[in-house]
Amino acid sequence: MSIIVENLSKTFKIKEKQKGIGGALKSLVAPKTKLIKAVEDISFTIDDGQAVGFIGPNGAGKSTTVKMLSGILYPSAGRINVNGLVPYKNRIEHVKNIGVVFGQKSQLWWDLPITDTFDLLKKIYKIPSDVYSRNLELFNEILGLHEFETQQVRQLSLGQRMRADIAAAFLHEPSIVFLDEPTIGLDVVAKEKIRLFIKEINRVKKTTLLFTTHDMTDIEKTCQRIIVIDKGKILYDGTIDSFKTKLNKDDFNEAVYEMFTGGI
Amino acid sequence: MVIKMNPYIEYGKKAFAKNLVYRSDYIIGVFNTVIMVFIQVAIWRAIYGSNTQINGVPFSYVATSFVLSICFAAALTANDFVLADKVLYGSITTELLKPISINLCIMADTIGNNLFKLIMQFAPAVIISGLFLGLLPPASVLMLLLCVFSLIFGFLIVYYISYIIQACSFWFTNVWSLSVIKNSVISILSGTLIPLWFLPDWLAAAIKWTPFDVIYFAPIQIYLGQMNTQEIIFTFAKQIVWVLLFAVLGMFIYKKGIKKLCIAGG
Ligand SMILES: Nc1ncnc2c1ncn2[C@@H]1O[C@H](COP(=O)(O)OP(=O)(O)O)[C@@H](O)[C@H]1O
Ligand SMILES: [Mg+2]
Repeated sequence: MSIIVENLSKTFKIKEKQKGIGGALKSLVAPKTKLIKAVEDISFTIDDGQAVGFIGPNGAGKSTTVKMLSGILYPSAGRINVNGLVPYKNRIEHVKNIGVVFGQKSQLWWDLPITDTFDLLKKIYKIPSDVYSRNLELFNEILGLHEFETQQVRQLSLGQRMRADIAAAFLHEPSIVFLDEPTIGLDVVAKEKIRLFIKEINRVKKTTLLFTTHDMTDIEKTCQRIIVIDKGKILYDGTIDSFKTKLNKDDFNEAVYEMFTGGI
Repeated sequence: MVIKMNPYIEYGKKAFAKNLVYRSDYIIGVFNTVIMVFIQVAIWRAIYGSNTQINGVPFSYVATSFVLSICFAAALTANDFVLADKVLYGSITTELLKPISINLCIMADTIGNNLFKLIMQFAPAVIISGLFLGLLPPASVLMLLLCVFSLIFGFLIVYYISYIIQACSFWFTNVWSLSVIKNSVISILSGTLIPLWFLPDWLAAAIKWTPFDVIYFAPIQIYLGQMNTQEIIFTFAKQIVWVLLFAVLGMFIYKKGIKKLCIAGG
């Protein structure tokens, strides 16, 4: 079992800003806090090599869950075990075995050309030279990194940047990769390249994947199983086929729409 | 060991190389440093007037002290904003996702910068001001070596004071004012503005209880052969105690800061 999540919750505490000067003074003396339950008591397990689609509307708690799984956000309650480690307790050991892509935010160094970035990652993850060049070759083939490899990350188009980010997340052959909206804002061609890549790596390297996206085609083409989340709670966990059966729809997209508009 | 240090060496190289891009900055830096030295030496030359010694200190010592301490102060600095920028622009979460120590990255960044400054700023500034103002040679080769060692510890004191300020950036988005206060205190109390020989006795006695006199001033006194063995040992002991104290305090604040960040969610 590569991922075990038990009764996981995350509540954010935010300070509420009050209006006007009086309000500002009041917040200074007696700050008003508000609690946001981003994730509420969720449990699931993911087996080695499984590709799981993690879907839900905006604000459902997907990124919050991914951040807790990757160790950069501490849970409020519950347990997480990834590859036998507790993510936020064994940070360095844990992140050696995972890869993370946040579509909203690049994980690369803005001022480094792509080739230097990969070179630095090779050193950070201590990737053996033969593995490194083999992977780069394979990634180039599918993602076409050559065309922009000498450019700095900040000069790349969104599609190029995302392809570089994805290659970077898989370069050290992690056993688990979290993909949080890696296809956001991309054109069909770029999306297709990314789907192909993800599918291929999952097949060849048996990488465990948790894939968040709003494009159901992404999920249908890459994942065997889906976990549906809304308002911090898991609504469904199972195969795509039984999901469609459950909602009485032939089309996956329609089934998802039905679920989120209160079909059940 | 070398392989283990590899990513950090890369970070250091990156910081070093970044300086090369801003070439005009370092030319201005050298110029600035030399002017500071000249002004200080000119002021003290006027104060000395026709006296060869004041408080038993010959003028040549004052000149050497200024040349070295101002040039060292220019080269052995710590950028107070490395961590602050990571927190402000959110790259800290990116780095938390990599199997590297953020503290070693900051150290590597600082050392990369300082090596650049030692070569491109300290060396030319010392040569120029030494040629014009006169620079006494070290008392002996041994004293020169001891001076270098104690400068390393002096740098570590500066580094960990800066680290404490940097670690505060988890709470304050702007550590600029803290940085300004810290820099003024260091330049006044470390002897780069007034050689500590000439401070009023009560102030000189008080500074003995602070880390400031062992940053640049004590190493230069070692260089000039002004310290006996006992005083040298005491200097090193004092430096080590302050380095440890600041490092432990800094780490403590840093740990609390990371925890705060990871609870609030970057
Ligand atoms: N750092 C944070 N501080 C306060 N609230 C947050 C923070 N991050 C997320 N939230 C809130 O938690 C909820 C879930 O957010 P998120 O996990 O980003 O949703 P999703 O990724 O599914 O769109 C939202 O209501 C969001 O506003
Ligand atoms: Mg999200």
